[in-house]
Amino acid sequence: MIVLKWLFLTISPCDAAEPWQLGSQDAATPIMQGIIDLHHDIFFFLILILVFVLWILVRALWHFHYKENAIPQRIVHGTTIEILRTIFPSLISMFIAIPSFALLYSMDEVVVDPAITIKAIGHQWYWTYEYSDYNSSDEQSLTFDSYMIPEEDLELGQSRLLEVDNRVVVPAKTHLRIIVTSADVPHSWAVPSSGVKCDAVPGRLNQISILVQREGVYYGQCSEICGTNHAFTPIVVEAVPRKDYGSRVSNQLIPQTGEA
Amino acid sequence: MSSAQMDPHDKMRSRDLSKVAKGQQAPRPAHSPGTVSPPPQNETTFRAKRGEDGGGETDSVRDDLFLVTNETRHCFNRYMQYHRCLEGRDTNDCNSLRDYVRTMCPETLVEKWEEQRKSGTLPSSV
Ligand SMILES: [Cu+2]
Repeated sequence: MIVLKWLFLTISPCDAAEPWQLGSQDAATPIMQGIIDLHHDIFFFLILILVFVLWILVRALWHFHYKENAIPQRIVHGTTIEILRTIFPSLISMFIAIPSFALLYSMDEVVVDPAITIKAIGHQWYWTYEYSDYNSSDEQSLTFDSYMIPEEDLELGQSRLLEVDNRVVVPAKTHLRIIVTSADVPHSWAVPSSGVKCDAVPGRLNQISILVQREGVYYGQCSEICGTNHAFTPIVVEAVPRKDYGSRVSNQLIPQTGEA
Repeated sequence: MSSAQMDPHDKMRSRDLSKVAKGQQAPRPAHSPGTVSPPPQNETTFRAKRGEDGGGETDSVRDDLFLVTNETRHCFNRYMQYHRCLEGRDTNDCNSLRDYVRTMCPETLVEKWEEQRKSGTLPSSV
């Protein structure tokens, strides 16, 4: 049964938090893949160091037990060991720092010209999204609010505190720029599967660039304490095939407002 | 931008079901999805398609000055460029700049600046 479950988990990627989850959600962007890989790389060193330190600790406790060695040998100085235990840890930290900085700066920089820009504006307590990439005359931008669906209105299979009425529809396998800002207090736009957590600060425009590698629905939550309903400000990103994007944006969003 | 007519806070506020049943508390208003403004006429109006048809002046919203996370100045620069362009020129020449402003800046911010520009309090001159 457990085997089946694990098989199942590997087949269907995990794009929302699940009960008792310990690890990250599955990566949907190269950045998130990088974060997960870095985590695993560092964990390798971490476990080596843990085993080594525990080994020394247990050995010391064992051999210098007061019944074994009532009067311990008094060593106050050892040049060799002091040099070694200074240089080796600093080397290890350096080897950890190199991939870490590489990842950090690659997240920061917008290298490719983004095909689509979407603005995410935090409000108490919902997100407003603006799609403004048209070049046709004077029409208004496509703007919509994204509210959490209250518990009573949830349909079977929808996630409590995570589902929203209007999802952010984005094309998959396309370079996106997301401009994050806020209209009132600081919020934070975060989608774990895409490796993004960007503060939404009033009066400031923050940009993040993502490339969603697979179609899917990705869940996130506001990640900056922003008031009483902070916990009820989820984010849902729906990545659709690029060829369907335009029609999804224009058709999908509108009928939803028509009903209800 | 302004969503449904109801107070958004009221929409989110939790209810005590037993009080609602006894009529001591108003039930939560029915949930209606937020407002959505009109969509683009068709897929081809998206900038994503625009890269393919050549484009004019600088066909990129990317600015080498602003390769970093903070894009606040980028938006304002585009806005000022647009209005500098508008001075003594045909509006159509500046359409691409207008599109950049639209891409980079939240609508409310542009509206605020428009007001400030009209009243002459914009903290920069064209
Ligand atoms: Cu918030």
